[in-house]
Amino acid sequence: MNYKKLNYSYLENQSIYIIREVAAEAKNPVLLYSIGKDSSVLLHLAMKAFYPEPIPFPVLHVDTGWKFSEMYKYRENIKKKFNIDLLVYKNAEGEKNNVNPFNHSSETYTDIMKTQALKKVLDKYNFDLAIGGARRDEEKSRAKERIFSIRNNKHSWDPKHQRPECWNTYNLQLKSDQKMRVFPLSNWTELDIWTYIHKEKIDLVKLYFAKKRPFVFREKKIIMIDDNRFKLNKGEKIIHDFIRFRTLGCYPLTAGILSKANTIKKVLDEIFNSKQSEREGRLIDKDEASSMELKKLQGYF
Amino acid sequence: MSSNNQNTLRFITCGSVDDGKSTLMGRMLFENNSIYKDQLEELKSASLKYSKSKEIDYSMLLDGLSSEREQKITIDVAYRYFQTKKRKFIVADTPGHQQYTKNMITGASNSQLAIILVSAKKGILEQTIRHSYICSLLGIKNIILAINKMDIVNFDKNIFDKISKKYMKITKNYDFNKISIIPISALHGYNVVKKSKKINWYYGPSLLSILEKASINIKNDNNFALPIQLVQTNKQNKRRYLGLVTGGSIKVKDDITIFPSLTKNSIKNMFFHKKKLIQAEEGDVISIELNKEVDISRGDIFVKNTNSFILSDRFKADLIWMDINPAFIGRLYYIKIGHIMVGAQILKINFKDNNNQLKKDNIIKLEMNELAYAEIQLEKQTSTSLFKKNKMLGSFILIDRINKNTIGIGMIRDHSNLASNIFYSQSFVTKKHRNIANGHKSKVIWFTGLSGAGKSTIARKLEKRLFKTGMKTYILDGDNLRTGINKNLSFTENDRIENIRRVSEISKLMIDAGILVLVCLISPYENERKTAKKLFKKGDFIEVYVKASLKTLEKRDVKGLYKKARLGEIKDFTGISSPYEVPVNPNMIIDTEKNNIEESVNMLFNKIKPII
Repeated sequence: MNYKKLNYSYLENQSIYIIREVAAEAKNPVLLYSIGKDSSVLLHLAMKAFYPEPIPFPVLHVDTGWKFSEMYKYRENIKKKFNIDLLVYKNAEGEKNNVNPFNHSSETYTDIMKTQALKKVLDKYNFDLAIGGARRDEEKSRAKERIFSIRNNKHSWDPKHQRPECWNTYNLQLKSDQKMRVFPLSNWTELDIWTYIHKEKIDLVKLYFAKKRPFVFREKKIIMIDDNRFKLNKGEKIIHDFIRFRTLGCYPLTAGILSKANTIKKVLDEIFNSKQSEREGRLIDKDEASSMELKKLQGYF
Repeated sequence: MSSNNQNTLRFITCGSVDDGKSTLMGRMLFENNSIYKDQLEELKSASLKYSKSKEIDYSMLLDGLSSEREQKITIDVAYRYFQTKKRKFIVADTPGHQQYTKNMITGASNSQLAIILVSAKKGILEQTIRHSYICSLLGIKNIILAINKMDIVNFDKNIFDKISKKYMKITKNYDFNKISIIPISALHGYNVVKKSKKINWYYGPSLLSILEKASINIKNDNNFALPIQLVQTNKQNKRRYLGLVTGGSIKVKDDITIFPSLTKNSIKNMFFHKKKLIQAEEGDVISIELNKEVDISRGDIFVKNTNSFILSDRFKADLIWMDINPAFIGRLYYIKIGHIMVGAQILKINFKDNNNQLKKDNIIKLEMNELAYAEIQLEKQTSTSLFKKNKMLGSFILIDRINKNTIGIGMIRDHSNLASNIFYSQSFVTKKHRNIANGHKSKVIWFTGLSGAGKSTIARKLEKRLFKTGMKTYILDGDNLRTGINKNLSFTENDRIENIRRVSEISKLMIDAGILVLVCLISPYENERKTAKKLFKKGDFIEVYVKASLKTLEKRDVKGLYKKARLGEIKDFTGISSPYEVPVNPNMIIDTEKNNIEESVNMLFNKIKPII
């Protein structure tokens, strides 16, 4: 069907309902924010849910230090523009040991700078519930997850013992050693996200739109050169061409696509006709088969 | 949300194991070009790894967990999203195994249509009927019976007709509006997206076109209801009430009644984000300002017509049990209805057969995945609706008080004809007056522990000390009570629960009479001790765990009971053939292996005297 006619108000209503339920029942919740498009929608929905009052819980960015430089600029802008209570956390131990995506395997790097960092900061502030922007549509193990999803004291997901979840009556009760992750965007697709961004005029990091940028082809993937920390491999040549990103993560681990789509409308058309999934450019999903499931078992969100 | 959006159809695939649910959805997504290239590559390598086949195994598109792929079964519900030129679809692919029924129900609860798969070879199985019945209970009105694997039976029309007829007969009492029946082969994609020439005797549309045309009608009745989800207070101390409209519609200036206080009010302003609204309807999440500022909290309900809601503490409901531990009559649970959470217990369990007819009366427990028609007692008067009128306020979930899991769900069917509303009559002379006259507070000291641990011995000595200081005391001893009021109870789990309930109620009366009660009861289950505790005001219930290891007790064995239990002469003996759950958070622990009786009594006396 024509995406221009899509009615997403039921998705918006459901997400707002979920976020309000968290505010009503959780003891010490936090909203995870990763600067990307889904996070931007999530933040927008959270602001809508409580307007004219502020979001009644903190917003947290787990930083790896390896986001694209444009992402950091954008983050500081958002913080000022909306006057958000934003916490930024970096795994100090990993930073001290210079854990980075060039010298370490993507698996080790993701584990230390993302998964372990997230677990550490949740424990540090004693957050019992973390709201995230993950969607079921993104990946096959996420397709299996509840909206209100239980984690054990090690923040691990147990896919074989999920709580029943019926109607809109959510169980937010936790045992003292349990935590919870909540996914208000569970039922949104990539197309829903973009249509909504378009309709609500949500400001995004410019990397989502095509522009001439420097990059190399590495294992057939387009890897953008963001700063002078980038190390060229033997035989690699820097190319300047129009590229954009469908998904944003850490810069050497997120591949771009060749594209001329420099407006939301053009991006929407491109996604509508795409033959590849959005996480195709996420190198960390493909470390091992079922690797998202494995990461989630380890506490990744 | 329950909004009536014709753009998006939410449906489930269900039916028995191996009838091809995941394969069907995989095939449908594939033929509808809803699978991305990189996902297809992953699917190919997974097919090779788990199915040892170069052919694509479409079921793996849905079975995304590695344990599902290894065992080649669906364990939990998977959600997939796709669209055609006509509309968007959210499909919940649910497991067929009986043990995973609770996951099927999770998927079904938010669905507007169900595809029930039957294998043409195996015909209608128990799970086919069970899933159909559950769909009916959950209010799914639109059913597609897809008779699959037609290729295996040589596209035999007779087989198709036989199964169709049988299904219509079985489900004739179910609450369905429409049943479409279609012959398919999920594996080959016949009649899935496109019609197949192989089944030339079938004149209806393909499965996908049925889905594209299915009407979506899942609205609640027209009675406006807004359960308050959140109350916002701004700096000027003005309040806004936030919630989801679960039925009917509302306009600015409309008069409303607020449950449970039944006070009248009217709508001053309505908002969605920055937008001022004139009207809101079912499915909308809104904020409201009222003309009169009153005390309203989460869980209160705004209505226009008070007749569609009942304020009561008891109702009858279809109950589906979802926990590995069975449900027991009399055990206290939490119930969540809309935004209200209170204590609740099951008073009565009746079974129904798959024809919705009552089968057997007064069952005492309910096992995982069993369905029942139950009477539920709530701790306090709560406003609810009937499920058929309002899905959100006519349904509930049950939550375990200790492990906090969702252990059951229910649909409210009946508020009438219940011996409810027996109000506890409050006499003029109260506990407070009696406590003042006696010069001490009345409380219950609850001794729990294994048989022979020393509960009675310690309690008797303690009572003597307390009595000497002029207190009114009484001992309720489990063994003694079993010769009188509890004579009719055995030592099964059910009777132990009832035993504890009676002792708790007696203690409550005695506390009200101003007496310091000492209860000596093995009381082996944490849940029942918690339930007992809940009966009393905070601080009135002192739990004392009299601790001794089983090894020590078997050595002591004053009454010779442990020996008999070991020989099998006594059945259901706590610690030997029946469990004892050690108290999680008792007020006091008396370790009889470390302290002798005198020391133990001294310790207790010194701790208890100052708070009485």
